Amino acid sequence: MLEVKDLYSTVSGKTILNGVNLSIKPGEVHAIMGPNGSGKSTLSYTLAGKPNYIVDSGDILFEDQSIIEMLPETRAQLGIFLSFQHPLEIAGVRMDQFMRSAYNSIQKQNNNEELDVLKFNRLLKSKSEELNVDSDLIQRFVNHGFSGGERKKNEILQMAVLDPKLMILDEPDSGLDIDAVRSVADGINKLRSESKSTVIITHYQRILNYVIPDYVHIFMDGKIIQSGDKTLALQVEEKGYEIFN
Amino acid sequence: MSIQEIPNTKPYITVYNDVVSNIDKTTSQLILSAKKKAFDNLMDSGFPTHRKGNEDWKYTDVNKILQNEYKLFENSFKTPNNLESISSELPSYKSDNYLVFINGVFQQSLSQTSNDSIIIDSLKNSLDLHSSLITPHLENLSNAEDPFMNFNTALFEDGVFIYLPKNTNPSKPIQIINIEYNDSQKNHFVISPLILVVIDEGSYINLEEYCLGSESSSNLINTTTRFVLSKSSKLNYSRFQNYSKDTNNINNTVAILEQNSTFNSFYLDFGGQIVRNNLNVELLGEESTANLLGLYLPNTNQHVDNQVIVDHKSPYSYSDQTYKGILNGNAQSVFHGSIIVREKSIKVDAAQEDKNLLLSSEAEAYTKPAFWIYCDDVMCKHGAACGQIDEESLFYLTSRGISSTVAKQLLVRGFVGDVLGRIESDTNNKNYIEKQIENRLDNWL
Repeated sequence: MLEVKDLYSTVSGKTILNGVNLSIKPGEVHAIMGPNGSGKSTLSYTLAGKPNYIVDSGDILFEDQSIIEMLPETRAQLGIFLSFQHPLEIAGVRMDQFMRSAYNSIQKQNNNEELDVLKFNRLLKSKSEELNVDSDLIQRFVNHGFSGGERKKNEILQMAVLDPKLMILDEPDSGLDIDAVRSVADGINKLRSESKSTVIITHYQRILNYVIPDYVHIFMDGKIIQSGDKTLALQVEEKGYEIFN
Repeated sequence: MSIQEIPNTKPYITVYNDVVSNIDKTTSQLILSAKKKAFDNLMDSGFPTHRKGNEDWKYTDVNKILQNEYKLFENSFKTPNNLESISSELPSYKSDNYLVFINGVFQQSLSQTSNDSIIIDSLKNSLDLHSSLITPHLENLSNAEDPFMNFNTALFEDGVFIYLPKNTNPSKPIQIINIEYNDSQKNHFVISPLILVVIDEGSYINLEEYCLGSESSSNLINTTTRFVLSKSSKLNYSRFQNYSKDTNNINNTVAILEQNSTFNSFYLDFGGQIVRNNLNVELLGEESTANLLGLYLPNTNQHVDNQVIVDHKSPYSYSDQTYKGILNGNAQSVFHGSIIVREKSIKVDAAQEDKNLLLSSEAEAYTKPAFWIYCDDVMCKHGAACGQIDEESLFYLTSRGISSTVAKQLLVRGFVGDVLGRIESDTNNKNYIEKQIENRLDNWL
């Protein structure tokens, strides 16, 4: 599904990614753990194609196709989804309008049926019920006045509606209390499948108690320095990142 | 005329004399003396300058407005049989009360008025028929300290008078269609429309004004509008302005609010070269409320200036100013919003906001809040912002598969969405406004 090959990238003239290698097969869940400032979010933005995140060398292959020259919308249309650490508030744009616009863009690009307002709202409503998201949220402006937990749940809802192949979740549990973490994790687990891959980027091991990863990677100084199974996350929890220095 | 020179009032002595000599001999002495007084005031004060120290005209150059010598419009053209031949932007729905003005002159044959209890008539006719209703308000016209209001009073030839008797609540709106029209001669006209609306106790009305231009016009439209809201009355006023891109429009509006009355206004400015909206709201009565909304979408070579003064002359009065601009090309905008709270006006709640979205690096927005608060026990707040489309928001939307063009459209529409959602007017009017904005943004994005 995803092959990251010796990836170097720069933001505002500063090199952040220093040779990242990562290989993810369909159905797998990978956790990328690292301390603050290690470049975890840069990796997620580079995968999603944020402007000004410049790839200097290396490559990113998604389903055997290089995506580094592609616009963010093209990557999303191929099936890549980034759940933001800090989801943005979009004043004046309602969730249902935003989601229908996104859904239909992806459908259109993939020669699938676009949905009218009525049909789409039915889809949105059923997804929000599935994920226990308050249906009021979908009538409101995107993330406007949402609590931290609502914003994160809203990211999961968007993911459920857009049905991507690769789900990248940047700190999906940051700032959440334990109930909200559980609820977000439940959402992620519901969306897991044989054909989808998941990348969870996190500082703490906490959410990995609920979303069990197949692989854990330790990310420091812009690259993966060690990989292992879920026990690696427990080591981090116990001893901190210092042991990898 | 050089930029440094004070704009000259002299060319308008002849125009004024023409107006006075054209006036029907039966016209009331009251109007004649109001005109005389206003004209004398103007000759004394001159037109305002944008020289240093004149904060009210700091960013808007009166010389540019007055560099043409405007003539009086002669009502000798043949009245068109249908308005569609002049303007393609007429609203597609016609209310029972539909008043058409071409270059400020009332067009009886193109208008329609219902037979209900509302009085809608030309100022001239109203003076004959309803003199006791109209007289008290005419006196105020010549008391104005504003040069352009005096200019209007001195030059207006007729106007419209609208009166709602006590407890009248017509379900349909009153529509005013103001069309500027040029029969291809290269003349610059000074057009001085005058609108006087008096709403008596307990009455409620939606008033819509459509100001539409035509291709070859290059006029000065200097309007005075006066709204008088009696006790417990309500006016929803929605004004769409799309005059010719070479026309200058100065729009002087005064709203007087008595106890418990509510004034909801919405200004949408699309057209004109230099546009100046002076909106003065006087909250005279307790529990009076003014919700003032504005959107301006100027394009290249356009300059829109909104000067709003809200004067809280009574306690327990409420006001809100929410103005937003989307500027394209080298457009310029000015927002100068003032809030005055008088000494004994306790428990006043006043808010003001002006936000601007610049679609081009050449566009300029000036925003200037001003507060004169002479009372301690009040709540006042203001906010101002100016910026381009937020790159982070754009990335958020595109990361969901939305193309950057559509994402920009969503963000820009979202920017004005809260104002559109708050407009108080007839559904047809709201649809018309949304359609106009959509069309304009589609051309820009």
